Amino acid sequence: MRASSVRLLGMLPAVLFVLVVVNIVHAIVGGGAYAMGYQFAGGVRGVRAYIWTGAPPNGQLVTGSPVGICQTSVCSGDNGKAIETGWVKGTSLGLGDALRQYYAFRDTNNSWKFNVVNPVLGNNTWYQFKVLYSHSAARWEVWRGNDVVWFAPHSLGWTFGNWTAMGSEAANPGNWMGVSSWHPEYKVGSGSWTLFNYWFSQTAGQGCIIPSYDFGYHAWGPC
Amino acid sequence: MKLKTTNYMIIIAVLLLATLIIAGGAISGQSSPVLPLPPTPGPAPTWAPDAYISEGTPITSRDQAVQRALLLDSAWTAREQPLTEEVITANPNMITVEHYATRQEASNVYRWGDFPEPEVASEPVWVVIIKGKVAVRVLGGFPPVFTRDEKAAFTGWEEADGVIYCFSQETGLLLSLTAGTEQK
Repeated sequence: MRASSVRLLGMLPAVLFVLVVVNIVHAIVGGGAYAMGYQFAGGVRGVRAYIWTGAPPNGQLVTGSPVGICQTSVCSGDNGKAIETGWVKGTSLGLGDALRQYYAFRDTNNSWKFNVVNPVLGNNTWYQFKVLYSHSAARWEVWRGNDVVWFAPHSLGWTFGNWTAMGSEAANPGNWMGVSSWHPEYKVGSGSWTLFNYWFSQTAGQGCIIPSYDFGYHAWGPC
Repeated sequence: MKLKTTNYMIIIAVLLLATLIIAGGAISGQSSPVLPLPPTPGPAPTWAPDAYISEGTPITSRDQAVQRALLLDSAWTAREQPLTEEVITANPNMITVEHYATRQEASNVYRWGDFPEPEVASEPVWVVIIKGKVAVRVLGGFPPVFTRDEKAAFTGWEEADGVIYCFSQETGLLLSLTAGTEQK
């Protein structure tokens, strides 16, 4: 082997070291991990899906299975509003590390509010999670199955969205993610529910999402 | 010619290895995902009977509420100045603790919403407010739809003037987290 080749081989540990450091830094500062599927639906006032709880591992910081509505394609930040629900599990929720339902929304004062609802959910169970703007009650609601588990205490400043969103998220890139869903539906205005496949996917931080079968998806990570 | 070929092969090998390390998350210690079998549409999903939380440690005092908040704060926030005992002592108004007989009462103050289920609305809670500029991990919140080429724009963190934690008195579990300290 020639000297230049030996030099290149000699650089291998250094290159790998740099790559490892870059990966670690990325994991620390990169924010969350997301695997989302989106569907445009102008005037959407409801979205629901059956979501499998599986058996999320213990000891994760936090991981969840969001399904919700974005007011616009911005979805988040000061100019983006969303309401979502799903299951959540993680040590950062408290010492129980239990599997529970959550809802989150951006309030009119721009604060992001994340809330957990008891009771504990079952492993390996299908739950239908739903976000709905109720015409009759004139309010945003979050459901689990046939039960309303939360409704907004006041007008949130918007009564319909334009995008549905659903998938999986975790606290950091590299954290475990795992969400399976089927029969996602959205509702425009006071119309009937429409079955759909997501049209656009967005992933970040080692999250992946695939339409694993018609009218269903699987989101996981790391991938 | 042979030397160049060798060099190219070494470079390709390094790049392949690097790709495996990054894409596979090899250093994270995570195993490859195991895809569950796709669910089969047909019978309606079965419902597991709800069970109340049996884990967790009750919070019986203000100090315990603060300790629980500080414990979780390390996971949910990033601060320019870590919340050490010295910092808290030097800023006595930084942390406020409140107790409410019901979660609904607290929710009415902090605009978390209404809970139709009596067992959810009625549980006693502790509210801990930690003021100060902070970046809060946003669980929930979707990345913008059209940012495939600008992923860095969405970090999953949100800047706020403080954080409000709400804990179940009975179980000690986190019930609510607000990025921001504004009340009703």
